[in-house]
Parts: sequence; C-alpha cells; structure tokens
Amino acid sequence: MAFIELLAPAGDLARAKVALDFGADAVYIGGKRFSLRYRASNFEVSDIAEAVEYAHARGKRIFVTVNMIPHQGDLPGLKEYLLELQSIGVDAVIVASLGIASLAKQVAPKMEVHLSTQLSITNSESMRFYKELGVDRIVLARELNLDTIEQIIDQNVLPVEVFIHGGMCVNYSGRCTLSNEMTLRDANRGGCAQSCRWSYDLHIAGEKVNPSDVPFSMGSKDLMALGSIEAMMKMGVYSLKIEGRMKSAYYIGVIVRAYRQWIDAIHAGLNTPVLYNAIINELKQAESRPTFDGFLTSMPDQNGHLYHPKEEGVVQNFVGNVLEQKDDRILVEMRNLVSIGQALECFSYHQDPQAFTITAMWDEEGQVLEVANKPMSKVWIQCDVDARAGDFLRKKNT
Amino acid sequence: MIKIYHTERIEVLRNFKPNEIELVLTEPCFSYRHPLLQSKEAFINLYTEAKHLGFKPYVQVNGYVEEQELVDLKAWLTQLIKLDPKGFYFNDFAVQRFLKQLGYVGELVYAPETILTNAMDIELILTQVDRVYLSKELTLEEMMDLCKLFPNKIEAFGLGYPLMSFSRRPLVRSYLAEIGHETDVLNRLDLTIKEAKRTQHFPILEEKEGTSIFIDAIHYPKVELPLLNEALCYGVHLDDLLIKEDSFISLNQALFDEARSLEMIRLEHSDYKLGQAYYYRKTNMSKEEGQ
Repeated sequence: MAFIELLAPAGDLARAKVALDFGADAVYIGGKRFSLRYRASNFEVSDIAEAVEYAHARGKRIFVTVNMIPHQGDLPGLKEYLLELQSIGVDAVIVASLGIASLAKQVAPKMEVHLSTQLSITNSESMRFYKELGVDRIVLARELNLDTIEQIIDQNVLPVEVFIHGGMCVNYSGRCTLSNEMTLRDANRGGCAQSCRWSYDLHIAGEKVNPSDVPFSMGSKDLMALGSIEAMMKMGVYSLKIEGRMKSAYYIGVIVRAYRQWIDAIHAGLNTPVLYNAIINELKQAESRPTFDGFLTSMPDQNGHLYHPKEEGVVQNFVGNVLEQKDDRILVEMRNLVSIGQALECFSYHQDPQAFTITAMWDEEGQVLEVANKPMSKVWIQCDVDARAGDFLRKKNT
Repeated sequence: MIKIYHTERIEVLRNFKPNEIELVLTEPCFSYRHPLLQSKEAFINLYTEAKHLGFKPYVQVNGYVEEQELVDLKAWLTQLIKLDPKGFYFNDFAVQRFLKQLGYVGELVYAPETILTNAMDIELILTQVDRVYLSKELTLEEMMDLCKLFPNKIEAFGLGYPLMSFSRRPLVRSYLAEIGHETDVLNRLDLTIKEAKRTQHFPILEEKEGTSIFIDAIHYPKVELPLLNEALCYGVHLDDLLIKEDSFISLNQALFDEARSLEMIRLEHSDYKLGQAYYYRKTNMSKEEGQ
C-alpha cells in the first residue's frame, strides 16, 4: 500500500510539536490572520517558522490555513502574508477562496495550495476545474461515503484528503450562516458560534412538537473513522485529516497516536480485531463528544446527532502535564483532582502507556498532600515508571 | 436593473409580463429547494407552460453533485439544453464544465449561496461565467462597492426568505424518529424552529435531498433597491418560496411602487416580518462583540 499522510491539527507551537512527536506526518496550523481560527491562534509568524524547522528536521511538513472567506476589507496584507509564509518554508496553504488560491499560486509558487472542505467539493469534474487553477490537493466535503470517495480517486485528478476524526459541521461547510444571523459572528471568517448545537423548539403547522426535555437540535456527534482507515488506504486517499485546532495537547496526542498505530499496523499486516478494540478504547480516552462514522458508510440518521444534553459530557481522564522528572518523582501541572491511591497512566509518544499508583505527593514547598485539587497547581508525585517532561498523566481506565 | 423571479407556481407567473422580468426555474434532479416540483416531467411541464406565456426561462442547478451522479447529470443537462433556456445558474463547477463540453452557448451565472464575498474571487470567476450571484451575508455598502467594480456583472438577492444553511442530513426526520413522533414532514412549508432564548421562528424545509433553514424575515430592500440600481447591479432575485401567492404578488408590486412607503407595506403585510438581511449588520463580530 502506498504512503498515506496522517495530518493533525495544532493551535499553538507546543501542540504542533506534540502532534509531530506522536506520529503525525504533517500538521496544519492557523496564523493570526486570514484563518478560520485566527482569534484562537497562538501562532506568530516566528512560531510558524519554528514549527516548520521542527517538522522539517523530522522529515515532516507544515501547512498553514489561509481559509477565511474574506470580505473586501479583510484582504489588505494578504499578499505579504503569503510571501512571508513561503519565505519561512511553509509547505502548503489551505484555502477556501479561489481568489486566494490563485494569488498564492502567483506570488508564492513554492507552497502547495490545498482547497478546503469549505468549498464542498463532491466530484472529480469540479476537481478538474480547480486543477486548472493550479490547485495541488482537494480536501473533500464530509458528506461523501466511501464508495463515492473511491470513485473520485479512481478518476486520478488530484490528491485527495479526507477527514477521519473530530468535530463535524451539520451543514455543508462554508455554506452555513446560522451563526451570522443569530450572533453576528461570521462562520466563514472564524466566528462560528456553533448555533447548530443549541436547543430549539420545533413547530409544525404552528404547534410545538418537541418534549421540553428533548429539544430539537442539529448538533452532530464527532466523526470517528477508524473502521474505514484500511479501505481509505487501499483506495488511495492521500491524506487522513484530524480536526481540532482548538483541542488540547493531550487530545491531539491520544488521537494522533491511535491512528498512527492503526495505520502502521495496516501497513505491517498486523491490524487485528484485538488491536482495533484496544485503539477504540484508547480513542475514548480523549476528551470528546460521542462519535459515529459520519457519512462514510451510510446517511446519518438520529444516531448521528446529540439530542440529550447529558450525552455531550466528555471523558475527564486527563490529570496533567509532566514538567520535570527528578529521581523517582515527577513534577506535574495538574488539571484534575487526584488522591493517594489513584491509579494513573503515563501517556507518551516514546512508549506504551505506563501504569502506576500514586503513593505519595508533595506541593512545590514540600508539603505532603493527600489530595491534589487545585487546577494548574504544580505537584510532585512519586513515580516508579519512565515519565519524562512533555509526557501526559491520565487516570487509568478500568 | 433586471428583476429575476424564482417560482414553481404557474399561477404566480401569470401575474407578470415576459418583457418585464427574467424567470429562473429550479430543476428537481440535482437541486434543492423545489418542494412543489418533484419530477422531471413536472419541471418540463412548468417550463413549457412558462414558454407558452412568453417567457424564456433560466434553469437553476444549485446542488452539490456527487461523483456517482455525474453521468446522469450530463444526460439531464443534454435534455435541458434542448429546451433552449436563456441560461443556467449553477453552484457546482461540474455543471459549468459539462455545459461547455456540450457546446452550450447561453448565459452562465455562478450562484453558490455563500462564499462569493470579494472582488478577487469575483474577478477570477468572471473569466469562466457571464455573471455571478453575490452572497447574502454582505452589507449593502460591500455589495454596492462590488457592483461598481463589476458593472452589470453582479446579481443580488432582492426579495424572499434568505437561506441560512443547508444540510445533507434529514435533520427534522432524524429528530422526529428520536422522539417517536410520526409526521410526514417532507416538502412541508409550515415548519419552523425557535431557539430557546430568542423569539424568531426560522422556517425549515426538509426535502429528500436535505434540510434548508431560512432567516425568519423576508428580505425586503424597498429603500435600498434604487441604490443597487445606481451601483449598476445587473439584477435582483425575487423568490416566492414559503410566501403565499397573493402576498408575494402584493409585496412584489409594492417593492417597485414608489408611491408605497415601507411603513405602509409593513402595515398591509403584518403577517410577514420584513427585514434587510445583512445590509446594515456587520458579521465579523468577536464572541465578546457578538450577540
């Protein structure tokens, strides 16, 4: 089977490094301008440059999203920005505007241009139109099933990128203005308020039909396509994309490692049902909504939506970030409540999860702790497994 | 400025003269928002009746065409070309490419609902089509500036319920299945959703192809149309979807009647909410600035 790229998101430099360390072949990030997540971006150009250097040193790549659908007033500085991205070695830009795609090709030809899922591309004939503009890759609409994706790839027009994990828009991406109307926050310029996930009353012929405890909602479960990865690899999908630039480093680490493991197992012919189930359990360790497989195997029905607010509860296993290791203790920046006797796992990219039990804890002043319950506090924990700075701690899944 | 009408009702069409308006008919095979026309035969009948009334319709193909539909799309376009439409409105560039391959020489108008918001995109796309239909989420000032940059090349939304979103999913049917409510909602024109903390009732239309949701107020640019005309906007679209026939005719007439003020029209049509979409509302608010 040919190489397949595992493409992961990152909201800042630290998360970009996590994604690369945990096995992504490429990472996509957004700068502080022209990106749909620009308000949440922590990437100055210098950060992007450092991410590029880090990635290239490992034979990996960095893509930058320039995927806003701009109004006229948003455009000043765009050309300079594209030139700057090219100058620091960015490998590709992901765009949603054909004008930006064309400009990028003209002024920054060393960078690939990838067309965003915002353009809702669903067939090879339209891909031929975009190919004539010089586009290098297409991120397909998420509304396609595996058969359709395979038929598109068989036409051999352009490399194809497919979403495999993460949040899903319930409407065609780029074609939704629910947020615009309800909050004056433009979904196509980074302001989406996720109005689709709110609670509504449904009226038919003037009569409300929804029970008050189950309001109408359009909120989608998250996509989880582990079961379709082998098929995608066989049919020739070029890149498998994980959604989540707003997600935590721990989430990115869990998701990337899981899919890395499965892709490598498929390549090696070691993709057994036992491993599959273990990876499914691993994916559940990440803080996310309930999942389903999107449009890949069938048209979503009620099982693809979140109608009951309690369903949106996320797994809260993450304990903290390992900051330092000293002798038989580790310094942890805490994100969860733990106590003596708690079973934990050290989760890292350099080894399988290592389990241990908390037998002793101290605060930074050396005071003994029975319970650590202050978010963002730093706590020394007795640890008899190999845990290093940059690793994650989580509660052991029983 | 050209008046471009969208309707599925021949009885609405009888209120207009062919030399006064253009007509767009949405085909039912690869499009959305055609609740009254569900078959090729019904579409061809409507098209034929329109021609008998003296109109030369445009055909709208506004869907996202999936790969396995391409062969059928090309065959259907071949059939549609034989009807000799004045032009085609399209959303998917597969339609444009096929029409060119089939040697079609009529007008082509790119109409993607959203995403057409700036001069750079419009300039590029106008190398491939005759005109473009601008996104609705622009301010009036933004629209006028773009119209002036591309005289008589830009069309804008003029009257009707503005579309907010389109989902491939059967949103209403899925929800009704979840709560065990058995009602056929396909193609019904009397469904609305109301957000818990708001008073607006947004019309929601569920078809077999997917679910469309609309802003709750009919876009009604009574004051603004002359400004768009001055800015050399090619034409405005007037869509009767979800509007009762007599109300649409009356609202339409009043829109172009200088003797009727907006206040008078609001009083006469108090059963409808009349708005200005995003003419005076910027939508790049931050979470803190937004509502």
